Amino acid sequence: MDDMIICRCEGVYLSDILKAIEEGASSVPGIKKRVRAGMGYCQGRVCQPVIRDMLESKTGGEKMPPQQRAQTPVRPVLLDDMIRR
Amino acid sequence: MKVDVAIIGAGPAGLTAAVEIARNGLSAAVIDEYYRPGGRLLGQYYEDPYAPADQRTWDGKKEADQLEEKARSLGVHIFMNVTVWAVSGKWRVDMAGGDLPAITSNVLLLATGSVEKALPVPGWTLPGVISVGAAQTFTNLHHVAVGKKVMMAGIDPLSLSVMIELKNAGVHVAGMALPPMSSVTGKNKTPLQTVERLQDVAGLAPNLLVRKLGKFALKRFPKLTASGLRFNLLKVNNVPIHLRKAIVKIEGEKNVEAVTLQSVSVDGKPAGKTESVEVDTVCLSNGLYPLIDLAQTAGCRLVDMPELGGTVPLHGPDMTTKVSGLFVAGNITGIEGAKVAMAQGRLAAASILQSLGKQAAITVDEAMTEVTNAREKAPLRFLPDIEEGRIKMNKIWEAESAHG
Repeated sequence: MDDMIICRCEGVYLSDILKAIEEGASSVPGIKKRVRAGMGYCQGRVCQPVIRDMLESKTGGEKMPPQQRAQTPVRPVLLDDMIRR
Repeated sequence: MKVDVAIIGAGPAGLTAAVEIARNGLSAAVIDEYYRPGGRLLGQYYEDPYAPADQRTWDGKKEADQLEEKARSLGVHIFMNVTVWAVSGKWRVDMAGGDLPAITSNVLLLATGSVEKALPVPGWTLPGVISVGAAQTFTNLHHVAVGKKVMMAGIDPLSLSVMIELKNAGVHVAGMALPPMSSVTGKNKTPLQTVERLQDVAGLAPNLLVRKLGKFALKRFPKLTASGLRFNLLKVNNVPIHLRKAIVKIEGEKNVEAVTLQSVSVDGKPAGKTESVEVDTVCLSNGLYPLIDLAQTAGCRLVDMPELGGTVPLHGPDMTTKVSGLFVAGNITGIEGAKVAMAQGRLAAASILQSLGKQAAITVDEAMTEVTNAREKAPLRFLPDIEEGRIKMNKIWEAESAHG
């Protein structure tokens, strides 16, 4: 199988995520804590739906696999802008 | 700055809501990350057979300009190139990129729209791979050719429209193929499902598709399923549509140089033969999903609803949420076209005005009927089960309301 990047911000590969699933990760936050997918600049806007699909096809439960919680700041922001607050 | 209503997102929903709110005597501010108001309207250009005779051509850019002009003339504050990075209290909106660090408001309307869903294929991070939405914006808004020879992956109403727009702009489209089948990164549509979906679209908006694809192509869709997809290749505007080939790899050293296509069976199983097609650009299409991060940080409960395109904030048919002073409109509530978004914007405004004890020009009930009408007349339906999704959401909403 050809490997490829899934989380572009943190450079996390498909193989890293598959390994995390094998190790027992069953949620997006579970993957995130193991391999940093979704922790970068876009905060999972690109990779989260993909990772969720992967989890669903691997674990195939009744419910959709849990997602990560959006946190403030929801976009990259300069410390200067936060201080101005 | 303090306004009655802060609106996040300057697309069709947000701008329409702003106009309606300002027209009824309240102050509104609209904030958006993009440099120009209009949201996805800016890339849209098509014929709408169901519109009144003098409005058959849908020029999204013109619509956006008119909405902006109307909003500005009514005194709506529009902040462009400004990123909202937090919402808190009731309400404080923190912003970056502009002169003001924050604004406060009594009501918050989230009209943040949707984002494109990634379609990972080996090689998809190479320069030269773009999303279908980016191709549309480059072509129709900026008039920039995305490449010399383009392969598109994902055969759906949006990618077909964009293909025609690319062709009209003089870009060579080498073909369209299916996304990778039964991939580790998720289930994609099989040839059969793809054709069924296209038929569904064709049935809904015959005139639009006839204009886009030509009568000949359209007539062949029903035949394709009937014959078990024996016609493997369909040509639309001289572009080969590979209904039985999936993209399996994008190749190149530093940029896209070629794509590998593989034949697949009707139900999506790989059927051997692969071939390489030289292209310099690949355009990926995998649909849209609602952008809900601000709704979540605002304390809104989220609901998984694939019929609506993904995870959406729990909301009522009148665009209210369970968080007081928080409203939603547009694609954040489910993936639909611009006219539905506009009707939802008007509805959200009516609900907001009512919640503030203001007399609106349009009642909430009238505005809800307008949303239903817009949905029925939509020239393109992005999700086949959207109505079912709306009904499900209303039921969850009612159940939650009954519990208090």
